[in-house]
Amino acid sequence: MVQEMRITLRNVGNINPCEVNDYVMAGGYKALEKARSLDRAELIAEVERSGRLRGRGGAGFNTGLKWRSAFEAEADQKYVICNADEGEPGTYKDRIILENDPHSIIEGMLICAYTIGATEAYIYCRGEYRKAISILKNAIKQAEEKGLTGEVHMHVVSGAGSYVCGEETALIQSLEGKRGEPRLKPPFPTIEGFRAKPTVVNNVETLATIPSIVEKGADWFKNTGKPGYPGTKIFSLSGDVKNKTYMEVPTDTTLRDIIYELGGGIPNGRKLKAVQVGGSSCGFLTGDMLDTSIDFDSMAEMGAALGSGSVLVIDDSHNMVDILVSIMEFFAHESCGKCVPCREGTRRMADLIGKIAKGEGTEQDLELVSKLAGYMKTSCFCMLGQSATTAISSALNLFEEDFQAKLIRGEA
Amino acid sequence: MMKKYLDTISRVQKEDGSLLDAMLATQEIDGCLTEDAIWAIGEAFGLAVTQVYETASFYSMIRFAPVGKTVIQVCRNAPCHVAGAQETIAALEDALGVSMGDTSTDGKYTLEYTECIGQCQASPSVLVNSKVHSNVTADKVPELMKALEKGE
Repeated sequence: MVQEMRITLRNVGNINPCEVNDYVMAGGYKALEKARSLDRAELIAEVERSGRLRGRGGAGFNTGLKWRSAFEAEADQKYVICNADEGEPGTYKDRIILENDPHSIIEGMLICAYTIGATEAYIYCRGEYRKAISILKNAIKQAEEKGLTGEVHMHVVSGAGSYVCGEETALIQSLEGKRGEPRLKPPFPTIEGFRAKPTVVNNVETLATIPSIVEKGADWFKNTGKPGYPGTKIFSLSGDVKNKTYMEVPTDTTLRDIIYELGGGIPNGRKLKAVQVGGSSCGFLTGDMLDTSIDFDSMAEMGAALGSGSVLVIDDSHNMVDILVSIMEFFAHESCGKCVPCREGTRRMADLIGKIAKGEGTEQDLELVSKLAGYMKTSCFCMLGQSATTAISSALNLFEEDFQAKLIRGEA
Repeated sequence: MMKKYLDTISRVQKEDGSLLDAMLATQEIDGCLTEDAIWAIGEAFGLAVTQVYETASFYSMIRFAPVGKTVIQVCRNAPCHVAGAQETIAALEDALGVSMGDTSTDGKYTLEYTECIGQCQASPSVLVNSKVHSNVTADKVPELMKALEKGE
């Protein structure tokens, strides 16, 4: 029987998130104290040695490398930003941490700030998470009153309903009071980020994992889970599964265990048809592909992605085209409009898929869908557009019969 | 006229809030971001009105037109879709006599979409004046309507 391993979620449900002393009693802020007693370069080496803690937001970038880059950049001011703009459909893992253990994030940010030499730290939280925003503000106030923040000024800033702001350069634009349109990279934010200064942008889950690594050491961390993507990962289950819930498991756990053991399987005597891991920007998997472990690289090898760790389970009562309508409408709404392939492509694609779903599509429409998906993947400016059609291409590959069943036949 | 906005904006600025924070706080006064409010924000932040509008028009949560007294937002993303959000939307349109995206003629209700609100463990999810309602399948709509009519 697989079991959860709660490292990042260690305090969830066990402490009062509005009471800093609860967090301290549970061993909180010890890692910060230890970090501040260490040499900065040593600390980065430790994070790097953790066998590569890789970003938990979706891109899987090496956290130690990010910190090193910002640390080595020379500037009069540096920034730490916590990306709490969790908007990937099906993902609610960051909300669980934000609402239940805000100090673990603050501690991770303070460790990062000390390491790279930043004195300003921002939490950019999506506007829809009002409860989280007020919990964070309270937590920062308490941390300040206890003298834990030292010379670091911490701020909570609200988003206002924009998915693309989860992309780090769009987030920075938004934080600067602009439209959330992604910037060209390079320069990367660690060199030229917020207000053109070196900036580390880390995901909520990544930052909340930092205190444990600092406290227990890199060796402990790298011996957990899959060597290439060590540690644990939080998953959020949704869709046609008995236990729609969140869980934290070592990264060598299989998707089958997550869905059938911890998730309790498919309800109502239905069969599993597809699983979408990582959110709407990721591809589908079928029932025979579930014995792979969920770490970043194993998922990529399968042609899928770990992404944010959301797991949408779809049973055999659905036609995939209907689900794609929802996915494409989402991207058409969230496209920022900066580049033409995405602005026009997402709208046209949503129209085409909608037409097919209504039973009004033809073979030519289907060909167009396939072509457009290819063009968008190669020509959109940022990952939003490039991955907006991943689900469609994947569904065309795995469930072509669902499209065929909806097309107007020659005789019609 | 501008004063009521400037007071709110200076409160936000005192708390070290951003331009977006100021917009969100200001639009609570009238239910939407009015032209006067945009002028006031520009003045307080040292920005041209066009710059404020340029930013404001990007974000879904910033409104330029007033909405109904009760705003009902339904998530239509994939997890809620799988759980039956389309049926919920049809039931709500029926019960409210309002089409998706519209406000009832008496100004009581606005029905619109929301993007994923991270409540996928209890889908379909519905927000009523920003408050989360969980597991709102079509058959739960009459119950929700009763609560709304009672002003709960």
